[in-house]
Amino acid sequence: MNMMKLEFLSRSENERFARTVISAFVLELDPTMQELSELKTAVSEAVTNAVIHAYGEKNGIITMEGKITEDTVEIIISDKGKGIEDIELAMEPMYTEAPEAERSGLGFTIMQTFTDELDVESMPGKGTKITMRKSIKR
Amino acid sequence: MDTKIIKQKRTLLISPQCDIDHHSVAKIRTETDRLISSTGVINIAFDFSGVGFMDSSGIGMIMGRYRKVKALGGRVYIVNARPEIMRLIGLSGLADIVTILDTIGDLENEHDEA
Repeated sequence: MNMMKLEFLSRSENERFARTVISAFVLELDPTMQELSELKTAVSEAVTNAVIHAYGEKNGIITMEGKITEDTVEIIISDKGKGIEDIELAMEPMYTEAPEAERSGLGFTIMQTFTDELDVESMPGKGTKITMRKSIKR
Repeated sequence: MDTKIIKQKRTLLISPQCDIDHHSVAKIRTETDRLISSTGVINIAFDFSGVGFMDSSGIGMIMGRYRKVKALGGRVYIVNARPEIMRLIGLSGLADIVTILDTIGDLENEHDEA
């Protein structure tokens, strides 16, 4: 069993930082290139959502937690930002709150496709918590 | 990011040398749009041999460039994308609207329309 917790500012520079951290963390599970790529992409989508939507113009804190049990990694990406009004709507493929910024609205679809379990909790005004689980086949 | 005009000045070849994510797309977008306007090219070719990672921010950026060149009568080409990136391109539906090529050589051989 292993765990980690990372807090960082909601700056776009930290999207790559978060991907690097999660890659390093799951190395002990010896993932294939595809598994690693899928995990990095899912994390990138969740962190990017928080960077773009959580705190508006100001910067806030994004937290990334990781837990490894047996062959499964659980990753939680959370913020204390503005939250999601309608989670079901937000998760519809192609839906985006930022079309003028050329956002494709594919983030949640990618998270769902590239992980085994996805859970979204959010409260307007309080924050958002994205939990993803992926089994790394041995 | 390397850029080059090829194909009788009708195609802009862009070779990013970085991860393509939300952070890096702003610069790629600005630079690409600036070059489209100033050089009069109608096609864009992305050479992804220097790109180790791309997420949906890259999809959005490619989509935006596609809309731009489509209005000019041009096309978007993608060359040298590694398997993980090809998977994302397929998942997003982008594969149906851009032209995927294996090598720069294939790009040189392409006949432009319009």
